[in-house]
Amino acid sequence: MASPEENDSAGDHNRVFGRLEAASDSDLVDWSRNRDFAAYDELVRRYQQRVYSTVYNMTSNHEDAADLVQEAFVKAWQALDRFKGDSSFYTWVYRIAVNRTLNFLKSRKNKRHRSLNDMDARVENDPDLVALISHRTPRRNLKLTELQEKLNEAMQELSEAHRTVVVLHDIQGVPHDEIAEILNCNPGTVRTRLFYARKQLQGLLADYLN
Amino acid sequence: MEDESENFDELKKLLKLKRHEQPPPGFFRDLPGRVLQQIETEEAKAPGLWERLVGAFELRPALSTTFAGLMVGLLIVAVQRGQVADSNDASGSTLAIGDPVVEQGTAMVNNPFDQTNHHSLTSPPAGVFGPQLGPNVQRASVTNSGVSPK
Repeated sequence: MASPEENDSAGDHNRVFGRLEAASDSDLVDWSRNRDFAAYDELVRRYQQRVYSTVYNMTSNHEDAADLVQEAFVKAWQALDRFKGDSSFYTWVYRIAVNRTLNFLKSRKNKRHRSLNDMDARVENDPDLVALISHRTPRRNLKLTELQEKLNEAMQELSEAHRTVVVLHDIQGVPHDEIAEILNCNPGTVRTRLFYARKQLQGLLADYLN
Repeated sequence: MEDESENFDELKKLLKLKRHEQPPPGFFRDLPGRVLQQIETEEAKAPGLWERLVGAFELRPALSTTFAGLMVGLLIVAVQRGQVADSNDASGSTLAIGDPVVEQGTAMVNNPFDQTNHHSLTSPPAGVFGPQLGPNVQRASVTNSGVSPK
């Protein structure tokens, strides 16, 4: 029979475990620092899609992105004691993932290889995309997969710094200020990079834009 | 340099296509488990003191170069000190041989044909920490009552 202390401990654990989904990031970080794997599991679940999407769009390769995201979350766990809470946890994880990806891309120079993910079913109903490949588009019979291929080719033509801001802002929707925090630069630099990146993309994709 | 100065609306719509790309099914279900597994694996093979020391050298070439230089320097100093000690040892023996009193005394105690160990009576062996002992040995004479300082 379990002692009262053990019952209390199990009860506390269950209460905490049951509240993980409702817990704040800051609480989950504190529990993770005390080696609560369930709390860290919850943090990973919260941000894995956004982090993965960012890394995938920077690398255009699923396998590379999967490895980098996994490494980023492992490194974040190992560095939790150094996380001071000045920024949000997800900004901090983003920074780790983006920096690791940029280092990876530098080492992968001239070895470009893309493995594009499938698109979800909702893409067929996206009004913006439907409009884009409608009769107004110069290429009437353009298929979505071809458009995806061309878009990724154009993205890979950008420098890593320019591609990163396009991914974070135009695809992920991260505000300028947070991008500046993630990239450790000022918001003006983010805006400038975004402008030139868009100009370059517009030129590369001129045939596919109205 | 404001975004609004250019019309990027069409481009932004096109970029929305990227939001629909999805990893293989089950990827997000499995990722947290793989992360925790890797954390446990890395903690299980956490490096010991020696591995961390070696790792520090691998990460900091300047540190390893400095350490290697220090070791080489110490080795050179040790060799030089050893050579000085050897030469002092030899000169100490010569002085002892050239001293008639010592020669006389040693001749009474030791084999006169054996010149290799005669200083064992008159001077301690010179070493790294006392190479000057050879030439500074106090003279002694041997009488019937024994060896006495001169």
